[in-house]
Formats: sequence, structure tokens, C-alpha cells
Amino acid sequence: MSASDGFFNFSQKLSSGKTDYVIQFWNNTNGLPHNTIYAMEKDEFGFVWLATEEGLVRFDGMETKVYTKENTEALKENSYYRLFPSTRKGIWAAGDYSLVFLQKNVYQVFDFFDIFENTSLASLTEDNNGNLWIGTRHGSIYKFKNGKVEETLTLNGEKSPLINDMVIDQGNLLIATNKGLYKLPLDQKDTAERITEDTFDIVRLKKYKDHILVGVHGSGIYLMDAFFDLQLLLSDSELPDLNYGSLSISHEERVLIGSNNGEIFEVGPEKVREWKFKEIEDFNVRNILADEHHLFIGTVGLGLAVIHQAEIKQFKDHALSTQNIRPILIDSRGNKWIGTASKGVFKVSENSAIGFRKPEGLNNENIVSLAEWKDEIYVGTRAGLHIIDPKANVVKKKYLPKDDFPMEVVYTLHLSRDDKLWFTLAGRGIYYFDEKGNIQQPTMPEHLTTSSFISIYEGENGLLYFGAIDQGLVIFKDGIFQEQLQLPLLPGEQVVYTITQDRDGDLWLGTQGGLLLLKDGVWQVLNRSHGLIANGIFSIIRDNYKHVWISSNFGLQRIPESELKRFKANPSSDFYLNATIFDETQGMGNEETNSYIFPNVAVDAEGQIWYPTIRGISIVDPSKEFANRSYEHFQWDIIRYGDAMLDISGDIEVPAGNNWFIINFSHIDYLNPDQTVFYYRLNGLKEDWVFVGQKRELLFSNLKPGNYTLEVRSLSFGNQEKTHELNIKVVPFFYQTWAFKILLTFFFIFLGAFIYRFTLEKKLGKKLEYMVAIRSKELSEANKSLKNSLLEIERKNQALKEINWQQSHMIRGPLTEAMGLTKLLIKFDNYSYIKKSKQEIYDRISKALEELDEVVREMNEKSENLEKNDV
Amino acid sequence: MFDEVLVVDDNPSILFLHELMLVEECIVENPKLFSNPKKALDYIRGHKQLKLLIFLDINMPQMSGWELLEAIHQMELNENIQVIMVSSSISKADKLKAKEYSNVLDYWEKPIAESHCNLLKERYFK
Repeated sequence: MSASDGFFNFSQKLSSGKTDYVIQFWNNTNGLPHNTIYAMEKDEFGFVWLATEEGLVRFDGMETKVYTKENTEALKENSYYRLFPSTRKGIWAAGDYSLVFLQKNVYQVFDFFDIFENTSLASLTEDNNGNLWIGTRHGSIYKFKNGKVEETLTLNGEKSPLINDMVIDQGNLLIATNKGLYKLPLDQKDTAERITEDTFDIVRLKKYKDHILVGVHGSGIYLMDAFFDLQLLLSDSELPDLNYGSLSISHEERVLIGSNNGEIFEVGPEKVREWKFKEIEDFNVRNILADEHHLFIGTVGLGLAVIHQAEIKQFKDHALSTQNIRPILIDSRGNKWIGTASKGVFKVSENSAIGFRKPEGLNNENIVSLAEWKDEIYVGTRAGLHIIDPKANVVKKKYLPKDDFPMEVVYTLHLSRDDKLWFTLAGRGIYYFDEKGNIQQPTMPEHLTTSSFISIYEGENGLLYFGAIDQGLVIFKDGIFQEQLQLPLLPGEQVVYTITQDRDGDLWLGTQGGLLLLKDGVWQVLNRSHGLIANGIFSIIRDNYKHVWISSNFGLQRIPESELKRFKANPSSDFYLNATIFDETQGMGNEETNSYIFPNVAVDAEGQIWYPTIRGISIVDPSKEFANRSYEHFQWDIIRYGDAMLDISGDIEVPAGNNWFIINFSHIDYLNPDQTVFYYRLNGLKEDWVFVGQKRELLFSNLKPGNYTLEVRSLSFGNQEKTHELNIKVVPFFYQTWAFKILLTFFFIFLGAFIYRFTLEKKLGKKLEYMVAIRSKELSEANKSLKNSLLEIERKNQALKEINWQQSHMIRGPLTEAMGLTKLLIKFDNYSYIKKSKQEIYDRISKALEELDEVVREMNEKSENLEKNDV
Repeated sequence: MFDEVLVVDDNPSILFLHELMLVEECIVENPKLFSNPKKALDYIRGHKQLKLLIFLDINMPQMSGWELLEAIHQMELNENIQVIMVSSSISKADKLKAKEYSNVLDYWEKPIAESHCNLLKERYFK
């Protein structure tokens, strides 16, 4: 079945006990303030809210956010007992004497402390006009309208009952109490009529299709029709331990109820089905919430349990499911030979399982390698090799440590295409059994005969590859040593766990230093820094669905072949692998797969991959559509700056003077929260995406004032992308505003204009000088007697230059002053030594500008005079 | 390297600005400020033994920067006193003239900027 079939297909299997589920607990060790959940509700954003005695909790699958009066100023109290969905896209949380409206965060708090005398809030409901109807523990009903409270009536005067629940139906307020059900027509509001026996202790009312579901303590579950007739759905005598407060209706309109000892029942019209979860056995189920893919269970004492279908199966066998599993071999008859670390080897077929241990002739029960050769099963152990006849189920032959050819740890056993059985021994190199069953040692360099080889692979090219500890890769061809390749790894990483070839014939090694690719004679390394699940890769398997599966101490990773191709094309250091991780949250019994065994992994006839782990076997069916559900529950959460913390509900504005601000967002996903990573970029600042991993908090500091668009990109399962935008305006101080900058610009343009005019006059002077020179030359040539006049002109010219110098100095005096003061103003906040106020500086600038104006006027006057009188 | 730093400029705003720059840019904690160059000269006379750095304006009514430089020269204090000319003049002639004095370290155009100070720190205050 594919994972997208939904929870209730899964639930049908659950009740039959035939399927694997994953249960995750959230309690006071990992994010809840208390282990008893009083109420649970899911809001329209997708958050699951929990009410506890120690605060309210918002849960998104990854993080819990706890609201208490200590961390949330608006809250009046910490104990909340009921949650009610509102039509206003939020949740009402009821404490003893205050009401909290939750919308992403704590949105509004109403204090009823002065209104309730000696009683407390017990129930509420919303009518179509947005009014709240509130019931107390002592039979009083209040109407809460536009922030005002009006008491409507008290049931039964002195003997007032406890109001457990209320719903509005067909213009009536239905009131469930511990002394029967009452009906109050909303348009009359003065008399409530009891419509059931007063012996009925009614705990819950739920609207259900056209009916009302009534949970009656000690009596059972009833369906009430429009005429207030009750029809028994499930009698309490049938299931006496039900917790009627947990009565719940699933998104598919199934009626669910929990018991005081951890059972959950689906109550159908004909039959009751039980869902069994051994993990919550004997614990009181207080709340149930079922959506398409999950079952949320609020318990007394265990916190919150979130259950979903397992995507990875565990091999079920009472003897093996808790064992440390070593190599697995699937023989030509389809029998599974399962090696263990301390219980020998098991032969598992359709209907039977036979164990081979010491009594059956196995000298060592720690299995290291397995192979099938000539209809016999070769079992390599920590001490010796055993040959089992699979038909007779007897150990036929043994090679032991004290024999003439001593065999201790048999690391690998591999049948080559030329029908030799190769094997490697710890610290003793490589051997094979020839056709006659005689042990042979191939010729190879001396130092390799004392090495340990833990992996063997026979390539399409007929080459036989041996992966060593500390000796890299050794290659044989036709039984003859060819070469030894050193690996680009650090000491300690020099372990070749597995070897394989891709479709292009390029070699891939799983090592303690990541995945190694040999392409065109060059090694490339893909490791954790590129998004690989771990540095130690124990197995590599290609499925028929264009994926490669690798195993590690931290679970499995499924990598699209296209990603490996992408890496091959561009093996740069900033390559980031888009792939999916499978671990305990997807159903692996244990994330630690085994290594130093051969083979590391097995594939059965159906194409399922069998992974030996240190506790049981995990089985992957690659044909399944794994974990590809798309979640779109991205939510902007809050922004913080200075002391402020605000909800984000649209564009945001950061006030002037805030050097930093923090933005939080949520990504609601209860199934695979680990499979989503985030990137962000701030348009207007940088064009590149910044990788933030699973962090949901972004800190910005020293942003220049202006308008920005923050984009957060979520990438799920390596292939589902979504971008979410938020407009941010960083508000400037006065001196950072455009208005001020424009003012400054005008000021400088004004200055520039005068300087231009000034230099023009200077040029004019030069031009005059030139003309005078020509003219004087003519004159000099014509009449030497005019020499005196010429001298006179030159003298005047000199005077002009002097005026020029003086004027430049005069204009620059106030100008430099204004420039300096303006710079100072811009950096005003950075300077600590300033002894003057901003106002004083503004005044000085203004004065300097006036002086400048004065100078310019004078200059203008002078130059006009010069034009008139001179030359 | 210097015992004291003097700033001489007839414009009080400029004095204040320059003081601020020198303090903020960590050239000196407590510069001596003179709006009258003659007072500055008196001070120099009274503290002949001190090694001084003077930020000196050129165009001042009571006495020009050049005259003050001349006076220092005559007191034979060239060794003890280093000067940075700070002027609003952008005239090349003034810059060239400043180069003639051996104890003039540099010629800066007003107002003093951070880059000026950084250069100075780099060279003399490291």
C-alpha cells in the first residue's frame, strides 16, 4: 500500500495488527511542560494546541512552543483545561478564570476573575453572531459579547449542576451537565428546559452529521436527533472503562473514543473496532485527534503520542526481531540465511526457521560473512568457516583456527563468475577455493598478504575489487594481482565498506570518509558536508526506480541517480545533495545498520532491500512512493526586536533605531519534519540563497533602512520546493531619510553651481590674460612705448589671481565647516565624545550656510565691479 | 611619540569638529585647542621641552599659519614640533609652500576626515 492512502486505510490494518506504525512521544523530556494533556485541538493553520496545568503548548511536528504567564505577559494563569475551536481562525483556551484566544500565538486574553465568584470556567461555545456562551462549574451561564459579560441564568438555583459542555443547534443552546441535558432557546434566554433524566451525567456533546453525539458517563454514547430523541450507539456495559471526555470525531466523521487503559475504539453503527498501541497500554487516553495521516493521542502521564504509518517494515520473527543482525543471504531457493552477532545463523523459509548454533555444530556464533557455492552455504564467523548442507540442514565441514590452514575471522565470502569462492581473512589477505575445493592464495605484494579486506566487488569489466582497511583498493584480473589504489582519505577513514559501479562503469566506494567516486582516474569525495547522511557508508544499492540507497549508523538515505549524476558533472565543494533520509521516524526499529559484515545488505526476489541493524532487520520496498507528501503549512510566526515580540500577519515594519531583528517561521509537518531544509535570501541585499538547514529562525543586523523582501525557500525530500515571501520595511531615522538626503543634495548642487560660476570667472580671467598677452605682443611689436601699459595689465592680472585665491579661501571656510558638521550629524550616534546637541549642530550648519551665502553675494558684487571697471 | 597635540584654528566650530575627529579616531584623548595663534605661540614658548604635534590652519586674522611656522623655526624648535597644515585652501601654491618646511608632515584640506586620521595613525601612532 502506498503511503498516500491515508490514515484510515492504515487504521483498518492497525486494528488487524498487521501493519507497522511509528509512535513518537512528546513529553516533559522533549518539549512539553507537563505529561498530562487536558485538551487538544488543531487550528486552521495546522498547529496542534495542547492544554496542560503548566501552560499552553503549540506543536508543529518539530517544535513545541510553551506559553506560560512567566514567558507571556498577557496570560493570567498557567492551568488550562479545555480548548474550543473558534470560527475566527483560532482556538479558545479556557483556564479557571481567564479565556485566551490563540491565533498562531497568544492573541488576546480576557480576565473573568472579578466576574466569577467562587466558581470557574467549565465550557464555552460560539454562536453565529460571534457571541461566546460560557458555562461554569456551578451552573451559571454567561454571554460574552463585544468584550462585555452578561449573566444569563443559573440552572436549578441552589443545586446548580456542573456544566460539562455546550453546543448551539437549531437556535438552542444545549447544555450538558452532570445532572442531565438542558436546552435554552437563544431568543428567550430566561428559562432552560431539562430534556433528559437528571441522572444522566453528560460529559460531551459533539455535532455529528445531522445529529448530536452525547457521551454519558456510566451509560454510553448516544445519538440525539432533531427531536431530542436519544438512540444508544454504544453501551457503557459493553466497554466499561471509556473516557467520555475523549470522545472525538475524525476528519472522516468517524467516532473515536479512548479508554482509561490505553485503548482506542472506533465506534461504527454496527461494530466497534479497537486500535492497539502497546506503547500506551494502561495509560488514560484523554484526547484523540485524527487527521488524514496521523493519530494524536493526549494521555495522562505519557504526554502526547503521535502515530503514523511506518514506511519501513521491520522483519517480524519472535527470535530475530530483537537480535543484533549480521549478514543476510538469500539463497537460490529463496531461503533467507540470517546471521546474528551472538545466536548463530538462522535459515528462514516461508513456514519455518531453523537455527544453527553450537549444538548444531557451529563453533562460533558470531556470523561475519555468508555465501552460497555449489549448493552449499558457507558461513564465515569470528572463528572459522562452516559449510552447511541446506538440504539436510547439517554442518558438513569446518575450517577452524587450530587447523593446519588456520581460519579465524572470515571477513568476506564471494563467488566470482569463474566459479571460484573468494574469501578474505582478518590480517591475512586474500584466498580462494578453486573448482576442486582446494584453498589457493593468489600472488600479490608481500605487504597485502597481512592486510584485512572487508569488501569484494566483481565489476562488469571482469575485474575483482577488494576493499581493505588502511590499504585502499586492490584490483585482480583473471585471478592475478593488477594494482593497488590509494584513497584520498585521512587516517581513520581508510576503511572500504562497500564497492560498486554505476551505469557509466565508474567506481563508487562506501568508506569511513564518505562516498568516493573514481572518474577518469580522479577520486572525488562526497561526504557529510555535502548532505550525505553520514561519513561511514556501509552499503550502496541501486533500485529499479532510479534511486541509490545507502546505509549508515544513522539510518538509510535514498539518493536520486540524477543527483549523483549532477555530482559527477560538477563535484565542487559547495555541492549539496538533495536526498531523503529514512530512520526511526519512518519505522526503522534501529537506525544503526551493521558493518564489517559481508554482504552488507540483501535484496529479495520482490526487490525489497533487507538491512541488518543492531536490533532486527529493516525492510525497504523501493517501489513504494515514500514520503512524498507535500505539506504547505508554512507559517510566518513572530518578529522580535529590542524588547518587542510581535506576530507576523502581513508586511512588517521595523522601527528606526533597531540594529537587529529576528524572524521566526514554522513549517508544520507531523510526518517527516526532518526532511525539510530551508534557504533564505533578502531581496535588496543579496541575490544568493543562504542555506540554514532546519533552523526556523533568522537574525538580521545592521540592515540599512529601506524596503526588503525576505524569501524563505523550503526544500522537502530533496525535490519539493516552495518559496514564501515577506515584505520588510526598515524605517529610517530623520537623517537617514530620503527627504534629508535630497535636502543635502540640493545643498551641494547649490554649492556646485557657485563653484562652477566661480571657476568660470577664473577661466574668464585666463582668457583675458591670454587676449591681453596677444594684444600686448602686437602692441609691443607695434610700439615699444606701450610697454608700460603692458606691465600695468600684468599687474592687474596678478591682482585678479589674488582675488581668486582669496575668494576660494573665503568660500571654502564656511563650506568646509558645513561639510564637517554634516558628516558629524550623519555619524552622530556612533560618536561618544560629542559635547553638543544635534540642535546646536543644525544651528551651526545653518549659520555656516548663511555665511556662505554672504560670501557668494560679495563675490558676485566684486566680479560685477571687475567687469565694469577693469580691463 | 608626541607629548601633546595642539589644534590651532580661528573658527570655533572647526576647532570643535577637529577635536571630535581626533578624539573619536583615537589619535589623542585630550588635544589642546587654540582659536588664537598668538596664544598657541605663547604656549609653545612656555613648553619648549615638549614634543608637540600641531594641526595648524593657515588663514587666521591675528597671525597666519605660515607666520606661526616661521616663529617656531626661529625658536629652533623644528626638532620638537611637527606640524600638519589643515586649511580650507585648495591652492596648489599653499601645498607647495608647506613642503618647504621640514617639520610639516602633511597638508590636509579641511575638514579633517576619517581617512586622514587613519593615515596618520598608520604612520605615526602605531
